[in-house]
Amino acid sequence: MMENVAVSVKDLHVSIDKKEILKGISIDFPKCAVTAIIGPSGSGKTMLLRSINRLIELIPRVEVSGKVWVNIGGKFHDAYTLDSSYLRRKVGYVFQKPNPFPHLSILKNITIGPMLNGIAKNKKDLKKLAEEKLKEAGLWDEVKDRLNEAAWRLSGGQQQRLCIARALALEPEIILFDEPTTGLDLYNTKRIEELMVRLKEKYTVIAITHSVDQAGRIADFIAFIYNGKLIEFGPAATVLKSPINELTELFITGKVLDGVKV
Amino acid sequence: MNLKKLRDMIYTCLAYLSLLLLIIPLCWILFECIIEGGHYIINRPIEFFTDIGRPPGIEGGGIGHAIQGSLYMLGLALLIGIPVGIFAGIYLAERKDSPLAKAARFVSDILVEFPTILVGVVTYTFLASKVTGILATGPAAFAASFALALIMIPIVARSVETAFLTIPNDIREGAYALGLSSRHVIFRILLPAVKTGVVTAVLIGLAKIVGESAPIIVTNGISNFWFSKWTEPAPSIPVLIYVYGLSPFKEWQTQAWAAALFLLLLIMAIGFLARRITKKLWTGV
Amino acid sequence: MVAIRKSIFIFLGSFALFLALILPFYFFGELYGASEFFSKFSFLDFISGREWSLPEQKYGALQAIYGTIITAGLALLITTPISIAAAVAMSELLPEYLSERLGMIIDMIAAIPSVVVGLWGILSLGPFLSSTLYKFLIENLGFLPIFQAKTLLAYNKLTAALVLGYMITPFAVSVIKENLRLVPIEIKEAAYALGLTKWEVIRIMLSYIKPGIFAALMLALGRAIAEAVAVSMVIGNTCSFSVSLLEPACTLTTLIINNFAEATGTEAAALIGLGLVLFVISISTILVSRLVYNKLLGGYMR
Repeated sequence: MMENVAVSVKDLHVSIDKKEILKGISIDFPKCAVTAIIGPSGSGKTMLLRSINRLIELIPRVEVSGKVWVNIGGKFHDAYTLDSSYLRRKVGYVFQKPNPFPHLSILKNITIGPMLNGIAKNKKDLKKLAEEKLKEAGLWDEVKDRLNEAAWRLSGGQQQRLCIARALALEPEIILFDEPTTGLDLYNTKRIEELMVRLKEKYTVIAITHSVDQAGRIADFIAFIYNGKLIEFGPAATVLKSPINELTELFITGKVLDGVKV
Repeated sequence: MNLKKLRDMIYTCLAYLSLLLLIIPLCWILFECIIEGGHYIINRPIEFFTDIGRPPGIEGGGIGHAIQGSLYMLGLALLIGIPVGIFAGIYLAERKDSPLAKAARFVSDILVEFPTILVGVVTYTFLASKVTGILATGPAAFAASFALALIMIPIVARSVETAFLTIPNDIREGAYALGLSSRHVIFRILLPAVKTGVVTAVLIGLAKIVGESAPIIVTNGISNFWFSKWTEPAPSIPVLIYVYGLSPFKEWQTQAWAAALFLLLLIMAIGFLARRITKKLWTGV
Repeated sequence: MVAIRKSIFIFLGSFALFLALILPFYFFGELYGASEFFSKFSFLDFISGREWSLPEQKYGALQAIYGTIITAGLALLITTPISIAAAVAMSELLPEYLSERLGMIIDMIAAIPSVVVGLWGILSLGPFLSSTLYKFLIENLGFLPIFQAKTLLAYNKLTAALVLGYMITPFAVSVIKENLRLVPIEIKEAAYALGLTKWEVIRIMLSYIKPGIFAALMLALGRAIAEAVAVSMVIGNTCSFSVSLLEPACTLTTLIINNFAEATGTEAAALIGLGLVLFVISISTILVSRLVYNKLLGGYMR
C-alpha cells in the first residue's frame, strides 16, 4: 500500500526555543510526482521541508518529535535514525536563494559532492557526470565553455539551475525545493518550473511555492499548511477548484487569513 | 562511512590539540611569573616597588626606578599622543570622505602593523642622534616618549574614529539644525556623547605602548639609575626585564620575573578597564 | 560663521595631515639616516654582502636577511596549521560560551609584551628544549643538515622560530575566526544538504575564506619579521649562513636592537640601512595582505 509513497510524515512536531512551529503534521508525499506546499509565510512550510532531510538540525535550540519515513530504493527508513549524510544525499535540497559555492568553479560546484562522498572517483567520470547533470538542469549550453569560471559570476537564474544540477549530481531519489524561483526573472522561473515537471519522471519532487498560480502550473498534488497544521491535501485540480476547507478557499482566492483561528 | 567518522574524529582531536598548544605556554609563563616573581614581591613588597636595582651579587633591590622612568616616559607619550590621536580621529570620522581622511586612514592601517623598532630608529635619527638629530643629545628619554607617542597615535585615531561613527547621523543633523557651529557640535555635543569610546581608545593605545621595549632600547638605550633628565637615558619596566633577563645573575633573573608579573597585571588591568567601560557604553545607550 | 565652521576642520585636519605624513616621514627618515652610509657603499653591495664585521668595516646584510627569512618563515610554517585548526575549533566545534572565554584567553596571549615572551624563551623554553627536544634531534636526527650542531645550544633559530610562532599565532587565530564567522549560513547549509560531514563542510568553508586566511597569515608573517626584542633574546646573536636550525643566527632586527644604541658614524648609518631593508619587506607584506583582502571583498564576498 505504501509503494507509491516517497516520504511519509507522522505526527511531526517542531519547536524552536520552546515555541511550537509545526503542531502535529501527518502527510504522505506521493512518489514520482510533484507535490506543492502552499501556505502564508510563517506557516511552517520551510520547517516541514527541512525536517524531511534533517537540515532542520542545523538550527540551534530546535526540537523535533514524530516520525519521518523516507522511501529509499523501495524500502522505508526512519530519517532520524539513518546516517544524516546518507539521508541528505538521497534527499536533495534546493534553497530559496541560489547558494552555489561562489568561490568554486562551475564544474567543481557539481563535482565536489560526488567527489567527497566517493560516488565518482576519477576526473573523467566526474566531468562526465557534471555534463550529464548540467544538461539535465538545462544549463549546459550556457556554461559549457566556461566550466572553470567561478560560480559567483553566473546570473541568479543560472546559479539556481547550477544548484539544481549540484543536487542532482548526488543521484538523489527525492528533491526538495524551497521556493526556488523567488526573485528570479520570468524566463528563469519558467525554465525551472519546466525542469521540476520534467524531474518527476525520475525523482519525487516536493516544492514549496510562493504563488498559488505556480502550484497550479507544476503540481500534481497540493498541500496547504496554515499555522503549523496541514489544512488540506489532495490532487491539485481538486484543491484548487473545489477545496473542502474554508481556509484553503480563502487562501487560494487571495483573501486575508490573518487572525483566523484554526 | 566509518572511515569518514574516524577521520572527522581525528581532525577534531587535532583542532583541540592546537588550542592546547596555545594555552600551555601561557600557563607556563604565568606560572613562572607567579612562582619566581610573585615570591620575590611578597618577600619584599615595599622594597620591590620603591627601591632601585642592586649591582649583581648583592641581594635585594627593586624596580622603583623603572616604574618611575616608565611613568615619565609614558606620561610624555600620552601628553603628545592623546590630543593628536583624538583630533586626527575626529577628522577621520567627521570628514570621512575627504581625500585627506582617506589618505590618513590608509596610512594608519599600515602604521598599526609597522615594525615598532623602526619607529625608534627614525625618531632617534631625527631627534637625538649626535650626528643627524635636531637636539643632538644621544640616547635620551624624551626620544623614547616621542617614539611611543608615534606608535600610539594611529591606534587612538582609528579607535576614536570608530567611536564617532557610532553616533547616528540625526544627532549630528539635529545639532547643526540648531545653528551651532561645527566647533560646538563636535566638542560640546558629539565628543561628550562618545566620551567612553574615546577613553577606551586611549586605553587601547596605552595598552599597546606600555609593554613596548624595542623602540625604547633604540632611542633611549639602557639605564639602571633613577630618572634624571629628559635628555639622558632613563630606566623603564620593559627594558629592565630585557636587561635582567639577559643577565647571568640569578637575583636579576628573579626580579625580571617579578617585573614581568607586574607588567602583565598592569596590562590586564588596562584591558579589563577598557572592556568594562565599553560594556557600560553598550548598556548605557 | 562660515569662517568658524571651516577653521575647526582646518585645525582637526592638520592633525590628520600629521597622521598621514607619519609614514612618508618614516621612509624619509630611513633614507636620511642611511644616506651617509650609501654615499660610501653601494646599495647592491650592501644587500648582497655576505659578512657583517665591524673591525673589518664590512657591512653586508645578507646574513641578517637570511636569518630573518629562516626564523620568520619557520614561524609562519608553525603558525599556519595551528592557527587554522584553533580558529576552526573555536568557531565551529566549541559551544559559544566556551569559545567566548577562549577568545579572551587568546586576546590575553596576544597582549603579552614581547619582552616577557622573550624572558620565557631565554629562561624557561630554551633550557627546557635544549635538554629534551634538541638533545634528541642532535642524537637521533643529527645526520640531517638542519639538525646538525657542534654543541648543544639552547638559543638558536628553532627557539627563535618557536617563540615567534607563539607570538603571532593568537593574532592569526582571531582574524581567521572572524573570517569563519563571515561565511554565509547559506554556504554551510548548501554543504550540509549535499550530505557532507562536519569536516567536509569545514573544508568548504576554509576554501571559501582562503583569501582571508592568506591575508591573515601574511600580516602574521609581517609581525614575525618585525619582531625584535624576543628574537634577540633567544636567537644566539651570531651571524652565519648555517643551515642547521639548532645553530645561532642574527636577523635584521636583532642587529639593530643589539647595536644601535651604542653605534656611531658609519655603523649607525649601516644599521639604519638594515632598517630600510626591513621597511621595504614589512610594507610589502602589509600591502600584499591588503590587496588580497580587498580583491576578496570585491569578488564573491560582496
